[in-house]
Amino acid sequence: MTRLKFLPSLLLVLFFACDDDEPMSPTLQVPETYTFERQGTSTVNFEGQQTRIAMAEELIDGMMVPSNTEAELQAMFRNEGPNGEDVEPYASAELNAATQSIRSKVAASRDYFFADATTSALIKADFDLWLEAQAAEVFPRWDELATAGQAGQIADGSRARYVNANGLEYNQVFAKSLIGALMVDQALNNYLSPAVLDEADNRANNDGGLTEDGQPYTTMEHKWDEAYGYVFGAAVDPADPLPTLGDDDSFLNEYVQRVDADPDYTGIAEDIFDAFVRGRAAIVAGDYAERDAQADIIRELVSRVIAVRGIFYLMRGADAIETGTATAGFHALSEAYGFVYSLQFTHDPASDAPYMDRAAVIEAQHALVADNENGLWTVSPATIRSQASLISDAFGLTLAEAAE
Amino acid sequence: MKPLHLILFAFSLTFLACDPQAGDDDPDLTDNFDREAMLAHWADNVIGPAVRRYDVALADLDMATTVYQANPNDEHLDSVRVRFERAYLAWQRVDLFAFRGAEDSQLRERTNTYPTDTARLLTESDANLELPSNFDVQGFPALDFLLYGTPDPETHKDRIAELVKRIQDPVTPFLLSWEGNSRDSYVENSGSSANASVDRTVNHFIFYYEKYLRAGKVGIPAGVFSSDPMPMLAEAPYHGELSKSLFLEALAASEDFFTTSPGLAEYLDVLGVERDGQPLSARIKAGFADARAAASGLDADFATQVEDDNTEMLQLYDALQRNVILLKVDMLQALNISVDYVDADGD
Repeated sequence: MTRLKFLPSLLLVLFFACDDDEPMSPTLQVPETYTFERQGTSTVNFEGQQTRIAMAEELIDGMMVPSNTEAELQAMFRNEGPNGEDVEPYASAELNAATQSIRSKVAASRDYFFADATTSALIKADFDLWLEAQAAEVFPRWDELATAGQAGQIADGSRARYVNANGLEYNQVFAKSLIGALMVDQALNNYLSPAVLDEADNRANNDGGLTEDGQPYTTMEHKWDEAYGYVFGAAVDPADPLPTLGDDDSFLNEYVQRVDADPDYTGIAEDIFDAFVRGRAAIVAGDYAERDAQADIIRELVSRVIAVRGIFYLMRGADAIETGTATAGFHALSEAYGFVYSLQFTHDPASDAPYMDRAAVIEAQHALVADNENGLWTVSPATIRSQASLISDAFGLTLAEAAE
Repeated sequence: MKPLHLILFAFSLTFLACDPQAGDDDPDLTDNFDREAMLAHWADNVIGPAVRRYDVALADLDMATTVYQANPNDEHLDSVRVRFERAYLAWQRVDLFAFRGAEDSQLRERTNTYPTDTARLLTESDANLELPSNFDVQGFPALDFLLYGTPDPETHKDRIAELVKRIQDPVTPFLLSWEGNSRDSYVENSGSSANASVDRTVNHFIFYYEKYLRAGKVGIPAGVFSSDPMPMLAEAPYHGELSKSLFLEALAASEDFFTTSPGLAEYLDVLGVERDGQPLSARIKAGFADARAAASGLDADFATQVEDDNTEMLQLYDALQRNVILLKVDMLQALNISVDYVDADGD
């Protein structure tokens, strides 16, 4: 961590120190890695997040196996049958034994959906629909060529991609939308939310070192770890995730690395990691202003990852349509469509609202697909680029920097 | 890609500062190089003839497979094999120009996607070869396996004939795009924009050099992108002594395309482009020579080479990589061409 990155948080500390008459907070013990202990026992735990990420990996792989039925895909999404019965839909016995469910945590954050069950249900229904449509529209035409208005295969270089009648790959739409609806929403809008971190007696318990029953961690520590788990939980060494970043999952971890690899955003992964470590250290020290300052850094930077990746794939898809075959842009645009969907789960710390709300997201998605005859088969590069431009404006980004 | 754009930007600032009248979107006004003559030379003397020789080589191969099909014996099998080698070598002179219609007909993918899926090749005899998911059970790699990797090629004679025709199908229309009416539209589109002929040809050339020559033929079998060398990902692994020849032919095709006159080397010279006190063209030519020298001691079979001494293969990769930078950064910057592709991120 460089000195420069400390500055904003230092200023905040000073600011709060001057503002209240409380004594200066104790110096934070900020470790090099995400390692925190109480009496020699690790207090870090995010098994539930690791489990859901692993379930999601199996599910998106399952969307590419045409012998799967909609019911089998749904069982992986819900980890239960249509009547709530126990199911064993995963290849991994460990996952079959687990009680977590992906679907129950989709659009389920405290900040955004606690008082909006209506929208939460609409979003869950979107994911249901993509699974249903993959089974009903794409699987039956697995060994057919796609044409405008007909699902099937398209070539992407020397490999095949599988699209619906509008040229969209449902598996890409599902996976990239899940990054927003599960990982981003749970991390930014739930576990990093003061409403969750400070719920009930969490502060008093944390101040008093009162841990959860039979666990080495306080509730507040655990909530923070659960946010961390959705970003870095699948790492080979979750305490030190940056060396393998990008190879550890197909979701947030992967795309934090992709954005970090763009020279315009170099360091964003380390900044996110550092903020998680520092915020967790602040919880240990009972410094909640510092904790929230770090949470805001994470909210801003993780939101930026989603926006940059959305812009990147949109611009790449527009270029591909201009210079390649009719279908050359479909893969990038399918990824873009999912990242655009994910924008509604981003969190602007200045407003505590998404940088682009659901209505704006739906409008952008309509412009890309629904407003055009046969969707991506006829969308114009100009339309695609104007959506990218809307996103860069909403996030205060530079279009050209995000595009490359 | 980003550093390139920054450099391009910096370069155009410098350029404008030196000559306030030059528009950076219209370099035609700023150099005296006859781009149209270069395009005509490429179409008429380089690309067109390469495609025609490939077309003829495939017709020979088709003839030989038909004879073998009717009368399978060792002599006719040898005849097929010899013509397979010739056609595969001729393809190396075409691959770098697989655009202008070749993208729609998926010329490259149906011709040379490897490794071939031998299990499916043997079991799915009715596979629909039009499907992208079946690129890896057709083309030269599938023929390589059927002709050299099976105990008795005769049992596959019908499949061999079918696969040859499938390779052949898109070639005649592709040839027409260089020799027919659309040849003129290629030559006349001599301006400077993303869709202009010079920009597109050069982009395809560099994309090919980077992805298919450097990575596909050398880097991937050498394990540059994996934890270990991958001998079975080499080109033509069943033949057993063809992959180096295929590589050298492909390298020569790239080198010849760069040096042919009028062409890119001369264009850079006319613009007076230098790097480190030497003409850029001379440095790129030296890079091609270095790569050829690095390959000279290698086994005729790259699969064998990466198993026996992968270090030499990695040295060849490094030599090829040095020219990627000179071509993709220095040359494109000098010619004011934007890269129109990005590496797939594999997801």
